[in-house]
Amino acid sequence: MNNPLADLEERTRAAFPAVSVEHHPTRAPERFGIIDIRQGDRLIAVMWTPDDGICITEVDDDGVFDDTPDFVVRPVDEALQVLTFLLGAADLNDVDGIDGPARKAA
Amino acid sequence: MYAGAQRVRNRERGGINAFLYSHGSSSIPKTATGHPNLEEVATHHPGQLVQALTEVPPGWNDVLSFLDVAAPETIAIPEVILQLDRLATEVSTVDLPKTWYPPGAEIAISFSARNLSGEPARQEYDALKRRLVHLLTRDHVVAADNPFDAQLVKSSDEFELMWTPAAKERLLAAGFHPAASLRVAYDVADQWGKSGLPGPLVAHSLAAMAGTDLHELVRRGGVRVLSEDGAIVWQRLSP
Repeated sequence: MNNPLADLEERTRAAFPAVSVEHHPTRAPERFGIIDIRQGDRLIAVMWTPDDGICITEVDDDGVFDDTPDFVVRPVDEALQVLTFLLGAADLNDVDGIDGPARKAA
Repeated sequence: MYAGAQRVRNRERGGINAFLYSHGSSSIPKTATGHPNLEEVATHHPGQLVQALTEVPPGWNDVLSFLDVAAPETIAIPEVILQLDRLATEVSTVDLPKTWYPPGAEIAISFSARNLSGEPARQEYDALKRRLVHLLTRDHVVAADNPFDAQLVKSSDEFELMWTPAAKERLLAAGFHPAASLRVAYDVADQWGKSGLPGPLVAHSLAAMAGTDLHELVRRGGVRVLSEDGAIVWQRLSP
């Protein structure tokens, strides 16, 4: 199975020109690949192995690495869908959670 | 009762925040069909905030997805969890956003995840559901008649303690890591000075099996050990 991250990287750059996409070279790209996506100070890590598929995780600086990724998908289309979800525009904002409603229109 | 989990992001980070609101003795707004009016509850009558689990400081973050539940205060939390579990199989096949009114249950559930469909939508639903269930079971006051039950099985040379499936499910939902079972050889139990499984050893064993301390189990409704014929052989229901 070919490493799909080069394709995902190219499509992510095209869809989100303002975000930083960094593809880390690996010794065995046919067995493992990783790209980092940065939006502001956010970091989203994307890893691929033939067995696991494409794993997408929002990295929290305050925590240790998560045991399980937020999303695990196989087709590049689904991975791009997840990145569009995480990086794209939002319709809503949250409120402070005390006495107000949960959300308001952005 | 109104509970919601939502994935939010600000410039520095993203994460899932969850909130539980109570309506106390007030009734929640209803639709013309008599179901909880989730939209009205979420936007105008959320109730009073009683619990929160936040990964991102709340307030003016982008909301990327949400999973909301509205129901009467009297609804049992296991019923809420059951309905959330049932919908998990549908999420990947419906257009979002979507509000469900499960038949036979006085509850409304709404899920929205902008740009997601199919398998990624299902994974997002599961992530929000896990956080919601954690919130609902974490500090909710569980009635004392709802203890965690463990089964005690005796073989030729050892005792074996294991959680009942319902107790194990509640422990997992609460974010603990319960062990499948714990075995104590008779000669080890005898070293505690009694025949049978002595109380202090049971207490230590249950805490180890639950992945938390006994106080936490008691606070969440108590704990009991049942023999193979269903008799209560040990219990602690209050501190």
